Amino acid sequence: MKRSDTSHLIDKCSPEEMRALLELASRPAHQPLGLLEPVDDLVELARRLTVLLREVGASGADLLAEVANPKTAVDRLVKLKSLAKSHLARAERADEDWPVRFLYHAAIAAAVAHHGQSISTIPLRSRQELYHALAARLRDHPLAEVFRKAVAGSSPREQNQDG
Amino acid sequence: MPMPSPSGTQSRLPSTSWTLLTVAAGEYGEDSLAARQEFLSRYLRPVDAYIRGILRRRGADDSQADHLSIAFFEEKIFDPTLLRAADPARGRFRDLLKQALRFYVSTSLRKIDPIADGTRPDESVWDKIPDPVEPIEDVVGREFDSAWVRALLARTLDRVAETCARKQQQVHYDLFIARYLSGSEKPPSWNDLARRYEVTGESPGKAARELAETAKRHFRETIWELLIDELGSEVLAAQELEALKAFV
Repeated sequence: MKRSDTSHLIDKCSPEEMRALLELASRPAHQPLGLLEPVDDLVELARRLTVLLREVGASGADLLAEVANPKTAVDRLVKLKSLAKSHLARAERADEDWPVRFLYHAAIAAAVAHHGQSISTIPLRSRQELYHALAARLRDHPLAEVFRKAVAGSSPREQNQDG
Repeated sequence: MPMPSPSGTQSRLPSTSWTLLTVAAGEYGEDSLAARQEFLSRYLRPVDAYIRGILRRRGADDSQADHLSIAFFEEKIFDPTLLRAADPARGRFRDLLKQALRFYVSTSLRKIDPIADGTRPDESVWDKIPDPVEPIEDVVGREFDSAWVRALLARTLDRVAETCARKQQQVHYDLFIARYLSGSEKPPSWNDLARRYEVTGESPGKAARELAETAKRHFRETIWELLIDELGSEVLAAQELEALKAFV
């Protein structure tokens, strides 16, 4: 489709259609809002993760422990991030997705923190504010260190660029 | 931060409005020309809508709008000597641009001698922005905001179209457009769309929906990339998205 066609489409677009398009954008995998408050209770987060990702057949606590483990390979972190992302793409309720969104961010942060590699197209610096806040909120949990190290990580090498 | 080009490679263009503007107003060359082109693709539509709105409300011929829009960018925005007065700390770029534009159009239309008006020819439009920035709630301002959203959506759809073409997902894109930009109050059903685009299988409607879902995912990711590029942070991008919803 040519640029002029796209402009024409948007020019004749009704306010309702514009609003609907903006609503579509409101639930990306990396949407940060609504993430901070619930992470106070990681036990509940892990429990809900188990339920939300039941098709995987793994416990949420195990998935989070895997992400926090420095020995977990980058390939595995990429898989966990992709798993979370595909779930979020299908999800209907944004307000119930936060455990999966947390897993998505934790996998990205772990790749930077433990391997110095970026596995997301979104630049880490745009997430520093969020990751800094998550690290503070998680206090002594091993994942707090993951987010702290990710914020401190410098010039991670670009690896996978799939979102 | 490098900005992804339509081909998916990384260009050297900076991304946020202020950094882009700095390059656009920089020494004439390949980089400044590319930055100007990108800057115009982001802002020409809302600037043009704003000027047309003012001209219409004053009963003036809105064919002047094209000239005034380009003149605004050339004389006031891309001028490196005037850019020095622009202070990113003074507020959201969109609001500052709108107010700079109000001042420019107002003085242009009144045909006031810049010197008699107390404005030196070399004075920046940025100087005329009240501090603190005052909100503008007039009708023309709303047209600017609406055009701002349209410009963002147009840029997003351009990139989604390019992504789908690159991935050989033309039918995915066509289904997405047909469903979400149908132009009618009630969008066509997935079964209707499956027939129109010859999607077959056990459940054609469901298959059509799944194909459109891929384009929808490209749309989501692209609009977020553009907003983060523009604003430099995910949190700011989320706030911007909420603000944009109020404009339509």
